Amino acid sequence: MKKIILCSFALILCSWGIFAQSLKKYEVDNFTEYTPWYHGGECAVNALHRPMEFASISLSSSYKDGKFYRPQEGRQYADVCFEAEGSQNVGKFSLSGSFNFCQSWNKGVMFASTLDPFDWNPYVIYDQTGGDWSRQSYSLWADIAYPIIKGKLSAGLGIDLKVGRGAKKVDPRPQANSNHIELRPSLAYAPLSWLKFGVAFIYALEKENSNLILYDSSVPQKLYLMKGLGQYTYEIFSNTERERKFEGDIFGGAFNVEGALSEIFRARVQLEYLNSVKSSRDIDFSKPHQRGKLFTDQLNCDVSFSGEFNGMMLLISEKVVSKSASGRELVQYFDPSPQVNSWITDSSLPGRYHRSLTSSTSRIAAVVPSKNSGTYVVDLSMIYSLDKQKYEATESFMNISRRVFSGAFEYIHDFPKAWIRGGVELGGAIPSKCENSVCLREEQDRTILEGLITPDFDYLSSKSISCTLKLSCGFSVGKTDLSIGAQGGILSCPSRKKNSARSQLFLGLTF
Amino acid sequence: MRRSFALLVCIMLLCSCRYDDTPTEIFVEDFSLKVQYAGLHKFSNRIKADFVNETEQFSYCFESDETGNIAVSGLMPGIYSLSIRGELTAAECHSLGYDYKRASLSGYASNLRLRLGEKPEIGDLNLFVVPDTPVIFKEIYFAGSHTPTEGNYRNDSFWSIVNNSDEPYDIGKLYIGMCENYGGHNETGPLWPGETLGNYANVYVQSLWKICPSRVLSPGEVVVIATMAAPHNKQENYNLASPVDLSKADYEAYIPDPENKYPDLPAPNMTLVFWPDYAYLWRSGVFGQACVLIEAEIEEVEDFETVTLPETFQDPFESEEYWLCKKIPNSFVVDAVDIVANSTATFAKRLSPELDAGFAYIGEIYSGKSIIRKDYLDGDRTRWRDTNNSTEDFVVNPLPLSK
Repeated sequence: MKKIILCSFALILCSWGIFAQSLKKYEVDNFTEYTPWYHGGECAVNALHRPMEFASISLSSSYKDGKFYRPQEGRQYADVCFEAEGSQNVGKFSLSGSFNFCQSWNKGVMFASTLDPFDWNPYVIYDQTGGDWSRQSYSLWADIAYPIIKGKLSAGLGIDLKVGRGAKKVDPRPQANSNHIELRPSLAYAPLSWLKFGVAFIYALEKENSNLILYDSSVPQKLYLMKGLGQYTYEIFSNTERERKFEGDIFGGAFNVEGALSEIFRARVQLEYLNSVKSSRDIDFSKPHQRGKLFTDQLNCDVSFSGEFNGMMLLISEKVVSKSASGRELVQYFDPSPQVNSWITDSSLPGRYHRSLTSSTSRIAAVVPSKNSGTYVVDLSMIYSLDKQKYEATESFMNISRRVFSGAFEYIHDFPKAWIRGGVELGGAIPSKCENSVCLREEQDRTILEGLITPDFDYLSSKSISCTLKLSCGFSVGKTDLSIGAQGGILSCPSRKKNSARSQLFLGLTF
Repeated sequence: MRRSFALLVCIMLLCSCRYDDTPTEIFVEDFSLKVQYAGLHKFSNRIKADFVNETEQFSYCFESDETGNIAVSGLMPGIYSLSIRGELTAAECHSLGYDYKRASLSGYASNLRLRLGEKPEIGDLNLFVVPDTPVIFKEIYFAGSHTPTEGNYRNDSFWSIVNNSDEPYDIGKLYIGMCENYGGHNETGPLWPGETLGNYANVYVQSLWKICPSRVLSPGEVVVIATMAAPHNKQENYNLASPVDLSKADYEAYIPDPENKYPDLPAPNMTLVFWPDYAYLWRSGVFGQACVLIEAEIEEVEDFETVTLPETFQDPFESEEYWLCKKIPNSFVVDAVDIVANSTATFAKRLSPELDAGFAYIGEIYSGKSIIRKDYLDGDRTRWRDTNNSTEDFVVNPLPLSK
């Protein structure tokens, strides 16, 4: 990890000298936010498009507190993040990439033993105590593209690396480590000057290890070995360690076609298919004990229209995601005979837990320059999602259907050596059809039902509104744009009279 | 474009083998089970069958018809243990030639693997009458206690035995032992050569003491056996926070070794018969350990085979003596209590269900609590429950020696 950090700093320092132009942060933001092909899956396309050259580093800190939150989110969250991102054309190569480091502190997190409790994997361990988490995440992505036949055919390689570490500070203390590495070799082909095709193969490897440790083994803890939708078996944990390992891989492919409808407008269709298998196992009696496998299947379809003329940028997009997962439980028994002395799979229970998500995101965004050195940014989106879960053996289910609206309006004003940006983002979530019926696993223990399932359902099935105010400004210092900004907002659920507040500060350099 | 699209289709096809199957069934196919005892063709009292799905931690109870047929339906797949209980009436006992007013019937089966899409074939199950044992464990204190300075103390353990019968009983042939707990607490035990998983024909004891040369216990009389027969909660050099004063214990497990620095206290000493890897104090693990009472002649004890745990299971850091056990046939066991760390540590059971169909536990180490049999009044006499199922027979006693 130290090597990655050192390489990133070296890259930043090198690029500082290379870039002669002075780009403003909002220009970079507009490019990365509203250019569909930038970091878009088939990075070979970069060699045909030649992306904007920029480099930026930023330091940000965010804080969230309040009473409207999901149990696994925690009641308070704070982080400090560093991010470096850049894009550059070196000879025939197009390079772009980013490095991000985040340290976060999360208070009052319930029912989590892995770094991301909202991961779809149902085979996780929960405890009764909850507590404060401290997490670190490092992520690095790089896209490299090279033209094989200038303007016609290019090859690319996308690399994505994510490393996470985290721990809870109360017994039982999960210490979690995760690694994700992803490779996306791709080819792009332009048979005509106005038509491009891209295809990518995707392979990713994921590993996570969560080791629950008891500092005080004289106080036994109840651990819930989850199986999906509030169903579990349990164990009284009085060992010093309980280890669970997750391993999986993702295979997939992406295909896109992009055409210039006119000199101004481009249309792009991207299809992406991902198939993953993730297995979960414990170390019981010093031997691997398989718990379950999650089979996930995901199809993404993204159709976008983008245009750029006279400094104006327009993006209209529709993204549809269809994701389904099936959990297979494994029935194992321990054979303590001298010949075997390990866990043996007796049978498997396919399709025990099911989850599916269908979502569609409609977005229209425009960056419109005004006549008096100003720019307007309008970004409107609507997400419709239908999330279904079921555990048929206990006749349990949960269906959440909701729409989330968001509208951001911002104004950027340019001065000779400075700029200022301010705006407001309004949003709201409207549930349409939400229902659940989850079987209580133990009559005498309602912890999971009342501590997790019910509050989570209440959160997701509640109407909420949000308002965020944003203000940032930047100054040109030599060839560098120094920016500083803040944003603050509130998420409110009027029917339950609960609110949570969010704020963020950032300091950035763009050059 | 065709090639690219074909590649995407190929990837989708390749991934199609990484799909989960769609379940056609959720529960195990319905089946029936036949229980039988001796020549009885009809049971006056319905026989009850408890199916415990150890994989899912679900229990199901079914009742037989009068012929002993049990119809079973709606079971989740998994690894099951089956416990059968019933009662013979006086008339049934009489017809079978027994001189009992009533008798408890029992039967067990473990490691039943019930799968989806397969009809379970359990076959007929033969029941047996639970023997009436005169001398049994009454109370066992093994969890240890905290000291006033928040330290831990576990020299104050004890075992009490009681004559639960109506007749005087001589404990001169009685031995007390602790079973092996190789693998540590919360871990499944090794399968000894020649044994069937979950239905052991022998007990494997790591230590065995002869309680006394001869002593007749009158009905209801209790004998307390201490690790150290010391005034634990009376003197500062022990533990003032201990729940017990064992200075009046009947017997002590004193190790007669010149290098033993622990005092030989006034209580009579038991005789150490077997404990090759002995320590200076005979203590159970604070999470609990299976305990047995053996009744045998001296010659029979000498004939018990000394066995070594197969090397596969051995930890090379332990001495050779550590892996030695006495192999004692179940027929010599007069009482046994399987003690495990907590309610979910069922895999740590060491004894055959014929000796102890359940298990006892406290679940809190250094809690100063013991396990004690449930008592009931039989006329004027207090008796201690003994159904050979410790889960049913024992409760946690927050104040040891209080009853």
